[in-house]
Amino acid sequence: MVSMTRDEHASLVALLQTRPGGLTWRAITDWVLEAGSAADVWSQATSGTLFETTEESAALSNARSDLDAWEADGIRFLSVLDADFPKRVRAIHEAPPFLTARGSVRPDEYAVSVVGSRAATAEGLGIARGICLALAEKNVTVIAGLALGIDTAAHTAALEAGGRTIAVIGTGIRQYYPPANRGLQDEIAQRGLVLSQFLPDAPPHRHSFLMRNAIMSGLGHATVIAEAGEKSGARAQARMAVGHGRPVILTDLVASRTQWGRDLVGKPRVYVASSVSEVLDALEKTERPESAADQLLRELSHS
Amino acid sequence: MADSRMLDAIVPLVEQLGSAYLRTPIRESMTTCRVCLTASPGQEMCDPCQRQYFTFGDRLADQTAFVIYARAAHQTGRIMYGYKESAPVEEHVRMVQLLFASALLGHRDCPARLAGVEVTHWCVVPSLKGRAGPHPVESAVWPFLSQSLSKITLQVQTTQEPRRVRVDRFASDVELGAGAHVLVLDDTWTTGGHAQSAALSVRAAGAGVISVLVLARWLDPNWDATKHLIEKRLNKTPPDLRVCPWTGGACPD
Repeated sequence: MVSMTRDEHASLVALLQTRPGGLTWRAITDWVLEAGSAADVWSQATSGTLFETTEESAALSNARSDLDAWEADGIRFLSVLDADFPKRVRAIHEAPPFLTARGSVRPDEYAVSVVGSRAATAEGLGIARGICLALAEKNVTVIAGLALGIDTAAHTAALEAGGRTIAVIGTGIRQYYPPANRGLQDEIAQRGLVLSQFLPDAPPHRHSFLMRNAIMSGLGHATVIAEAGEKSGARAQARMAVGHGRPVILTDLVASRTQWGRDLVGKPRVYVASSVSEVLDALEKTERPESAADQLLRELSHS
Repeated sequence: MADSRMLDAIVPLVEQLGSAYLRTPIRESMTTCRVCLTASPGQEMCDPCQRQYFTFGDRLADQTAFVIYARAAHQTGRIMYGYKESAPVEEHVRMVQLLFASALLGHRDCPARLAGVEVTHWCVVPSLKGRAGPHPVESAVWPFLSQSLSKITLQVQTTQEPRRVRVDRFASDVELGAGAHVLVLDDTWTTGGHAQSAALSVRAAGAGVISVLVLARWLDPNWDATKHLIEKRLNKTPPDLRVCPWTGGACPD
């Protein structure tokens, strides 16, 4: 079983590193998900191509030695097909082919994203902090993106309250960005979980932070936007969460002071909260349609 | 006629869970194809459907219904794959079942009213990929199909030219009388190759009326007309999950 997983991981990394036939990561992911095996995709993608057998095995052995080095470095590699890959991330159309992790992976945990601007006000930081202290108190895992501002306040408050927090980062997991949050990233790896969808040495890139927002939207049961401006990653995450059918909770700061926030109010699964307790109430409501739907489907079966 | 009690129970939940990304099909003459509901500006039928009708005529499905549109790089596209992966995504299975339930229970009598003949049989379009285990469409629909309907099993005869409509693609395991009205069920329609081949095999078995219900019409935005339909119509109108999948509007009387 262990060696089978190893073959699967090596095949996936080899596919992503060599991209046979010019396949994009997206196309590789879709193919692997449909086939249910990266090793099968690797053999199909490399058969009848210009790849010589020696190149094929070189690509696989490179992938194996990368995986060994990552493992030796304390990095866990999770393929999208692994049982431990977070289920909710696999559900979104931006599901990445793999995640790397430092910390403890709990594939099915109840977690909520709390995100917002880097250029946050004292008021916004206070709100994020209040929400995350309350979530930690209720044993809800806090997800944020390790950025400065609201994200940092969210992680810090969760840790301070003895809660669990997940940092979804926009670089490879061996990188530290922003450099100021190096210590925080290490602490979260120790006490919570750091996740990255990029190869471990990947530097920050303009697009990588938006890709990271999609993973956060997928991973969380809901996204709370604590404070955000007209143009921010948090706005993008709100849009993505709506597109995933995930609940979005806007603080009244966002709902009243931004045009996009006003436009979102009234959309399905978008809630406005003006206090910590209203955020908690909204979170409780967000779980109801799923359980109501499951109940109804049971009742409708051969009615 | 819609079963409004059913729709009242199902639709609000689908709206809660999916109306942010779900898009319901448009059935509009000279805008979408009257068979498959893809963009078809200025024509009653899109080119692929026209070609199929030129070749097979009345042996093809008599009426078609679609519940949603789906496309790649979009949550709808992910759902149509995720619900049938070897470890199915739970929220995708839930959505697929809700949508099938809304069409099969909320609009149970619509295909019969439209054709004037009661539905007597059902079948699913077999997978050409030789997947193991129960057919995902069958698992999703059987809880919502009346047990008074008889099930037909189609066998795959050839996997050549997988997208083409072929008379010899499938074969029915039973002979049917002309009074038979068969409901053919599938999850996605891309060119109609699978569903229409299934219709041909059911017709060859003797069926008098064939109704095809497909959960999702797959759209390809690489076609300008389709892109236009998505941008100008689908992205601008909230989905109407009560609309009849058989008529695109009110249910048949």
